[in-house]
Amino acid sequence: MLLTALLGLALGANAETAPETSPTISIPFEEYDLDNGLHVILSEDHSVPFVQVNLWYRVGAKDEVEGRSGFAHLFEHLMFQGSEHMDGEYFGPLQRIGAQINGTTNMDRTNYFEGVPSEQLPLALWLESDRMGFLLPALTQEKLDNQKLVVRNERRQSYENRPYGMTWWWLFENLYPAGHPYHIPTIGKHEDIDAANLEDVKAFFRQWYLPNNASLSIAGDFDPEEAKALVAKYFGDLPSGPQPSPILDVEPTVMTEEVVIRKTDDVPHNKVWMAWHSPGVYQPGDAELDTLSSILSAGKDSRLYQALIEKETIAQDVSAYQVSMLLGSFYVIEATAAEGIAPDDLVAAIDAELAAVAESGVTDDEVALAKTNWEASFVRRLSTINTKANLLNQYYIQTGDTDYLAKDLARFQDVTTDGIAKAIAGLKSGRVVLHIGPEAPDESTETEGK
Amino acid sequence: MRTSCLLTALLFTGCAPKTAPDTSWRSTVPEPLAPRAFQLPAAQTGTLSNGLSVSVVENHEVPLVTVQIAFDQGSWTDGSDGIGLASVTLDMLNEGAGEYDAAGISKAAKALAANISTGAGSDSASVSLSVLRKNLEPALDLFSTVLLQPTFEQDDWDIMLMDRVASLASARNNPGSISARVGSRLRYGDEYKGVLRTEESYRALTTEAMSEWASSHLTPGNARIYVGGDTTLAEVMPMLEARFGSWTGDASTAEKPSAALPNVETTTIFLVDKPGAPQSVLKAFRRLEVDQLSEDWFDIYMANMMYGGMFSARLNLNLREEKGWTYGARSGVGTDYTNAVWTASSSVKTDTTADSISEILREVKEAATIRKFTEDELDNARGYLLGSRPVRYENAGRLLGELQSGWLYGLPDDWTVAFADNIRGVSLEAAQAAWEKHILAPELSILVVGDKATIEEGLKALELPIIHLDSDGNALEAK
Repeated sequence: MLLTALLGLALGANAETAPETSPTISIPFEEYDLDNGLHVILSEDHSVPFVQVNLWYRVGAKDEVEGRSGFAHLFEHLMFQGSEHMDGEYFGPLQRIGAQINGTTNMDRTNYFEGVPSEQLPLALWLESDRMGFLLPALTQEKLDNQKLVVRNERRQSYENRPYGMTWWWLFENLYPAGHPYHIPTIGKHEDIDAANLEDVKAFFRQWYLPNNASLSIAGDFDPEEAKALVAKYFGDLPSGPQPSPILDVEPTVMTEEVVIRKTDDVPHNKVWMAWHSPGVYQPGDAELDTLSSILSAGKDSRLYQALIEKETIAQDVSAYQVSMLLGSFYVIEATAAEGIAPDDLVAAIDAELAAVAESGVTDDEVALAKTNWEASFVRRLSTINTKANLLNQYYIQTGDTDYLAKDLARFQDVTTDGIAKAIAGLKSGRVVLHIGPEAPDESTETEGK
Repeated sequence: MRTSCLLTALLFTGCAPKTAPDTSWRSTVPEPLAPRAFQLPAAQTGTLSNGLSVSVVENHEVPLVTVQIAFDQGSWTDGSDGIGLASVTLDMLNEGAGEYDAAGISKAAKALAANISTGAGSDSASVSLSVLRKNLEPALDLFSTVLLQPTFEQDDWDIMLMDRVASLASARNNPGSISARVGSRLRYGDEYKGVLRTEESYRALTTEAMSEWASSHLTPGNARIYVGGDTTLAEVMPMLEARFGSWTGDASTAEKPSAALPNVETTTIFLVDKPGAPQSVLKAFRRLEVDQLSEDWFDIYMANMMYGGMFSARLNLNLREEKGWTYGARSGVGTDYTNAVWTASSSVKTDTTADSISEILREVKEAATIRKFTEDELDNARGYLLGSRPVRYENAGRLLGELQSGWLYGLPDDWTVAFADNIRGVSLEAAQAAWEKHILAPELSILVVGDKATIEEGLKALELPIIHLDSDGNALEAK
């Protein structure tokens, strides 16, 4: 109970005596800036003697320069290869104390995180600060060459060597014109990864990896005064640099025509993806489209499941989702054609159902059900200190408001049937329709790879 | 400071501490703070009036409760005339029960923000609920309806059958799935996990057979209940008693599987062609003479950790961090109702396939000869397993899962508690001996799913027998 109170995530009252009410959803925290501009967020949670250290840098694949696609992610790999005062694999010293360690890169940002036993907080801060301040002295051609190979193998394993693995590639390059920050997905092109050189790494580090371009979130079992002293010790003397300017705004891409892409590949079924440009993350319309996704495809009572699978046998599966990103999102409906159904007929059936939903509107009941489940999904996000540390950084970096959690939930609780009608109206004829299917058996004389 | 350091780095190859004396203190590894005690969560147990055992692991961090009813019945019970029956039966529970059809269950669950999932694997089956605690009672009503009153409608089976058949095509196409499916056949033959599901076997299943299987296998005698999260034993027992206390059905008496294929007599490559694949999916494995109850289990476990059980183990450091041939390589000791199987696996760039196999074999051998395991490696593995314990038990799920494994496989009740001491008790000599006794052996099966046209020549040069298989694991005629 004491822990619950500290967490600020209580049922509103003692469960045994008071009626059950909706959970209060919040994460307590404090935040401040160091003189060098590093933002620091501290969130105590003493449930287990473990602490999560989470760092976000305001740089993602969208900020790469021409000819260096995949670089933000390649750079992330190099951040694990050692720094001036700990020149060796970061996994070495961290795994031997039981750390859970990783980093991720997406179009919009890069993050690094390690969960460590409480008493090892100094080690985690030591390593994070060393690679923030002193990466380049330990950088070698050998390390770069090795990680280029590793990342290209990541591309093969996660994209090329799995059915439909190149879907994202084809959607991005057709949704966003050449030169747009989202034209090429995060993993990048083989030739660009291969072309990266030491000068690129140095320039990228100097431009982006600065305390004034990062936010450090610490969540878990720590003493706040002790943590502040450690943060000051390890990060306080890192010099800031010229304030970087990540791309935060671009001319919205307007599609007026339908672009149909047909790909044959080594895949088992005919699949279609329909993708529309849509409002950016946290923008009006973003939560409405997420809610629409629930109504269209979450569960066997959903609209598209009922229309395409239950009532008729047009699809094997169907799924709708909003891909929320900073510079503008896209909305996707994907489906696998049932045996004997042509991809074009599948697209037509989805369009017919969308038109029917637009015509009659969604019901209050459908919206209410979706909202009930958003509340639960927010609660689920708060069940580990790792997700809490990351969420606080996400809110700070992407909205400027670390305390955005309740507002984020409110976005979903405020969705109306009218708002969803507007969101559906935004799914216009300008879109990408991607078909991926196996080679037709009668024309399989060519057996070219991808 | 930083600028001068960087300039130095540009001009020379390094940036020695002496050029930036004010940062040399950073080269000292920080001392840990005072250690903080970790208290493993503990389960409380109760028994319903029909004898059904209930374990509760409390966790009041977030207002969520999970309830799982697990059965020690899975596809191991299928038999040759019901291949896939357990798996399909469990999936069908969610398709219609009591007054609800599939959409009705889905809608009722949404109204409570409840997730109800059902499924069966080879060894066990389960029906699980995750819900906000404020909705626990009504969600349990729905949950018990799904488990106790399934309707097994033909229409729903028709849809699921289509889905299962389509999934087979996907499984035969995806290199990772091919490796998993064929790997099971090679390890288990045509029994237990090796039984091959086909379109024909799915089409042979009937809703009557599902109904019969559910009545005879999903019984309280075969079940245990596991509860985790924001509730207490005292609170949840009456809720469970009201819904499951008068449920009847005896334990099944069928013997758990023990049959397993012997290892190959000489190290053999099994090759499944995947034309054009940019990587080869590799699995090198052999069945061991031990299971989790064997005396030297933890010795083997630690030896494997040092070989390939973690990022900073030998296999990954070699194939990824030194050679750059893969995104990752790991090994593990898999456990089930039969003896354990040791497997090393990786996806490697196509043109490094044969070399990667050589490296996997070389690492196996050298760990027993010229590069025996070291105290430092043992410290690394031990530190990893012990240090990460607090976060592994951050939520109730981990402990509940271990309790369930303990029940299925007959492990001692104190398995989780004793794990730390068991790990600490492994000496370097014992781990080394276990490696040499159990894993160092000439007879490894090496499954390769990759582009035959490119890799076959290199594989032949390894001078190991090569057996060609189709994507179901059936031997092809030698060409």
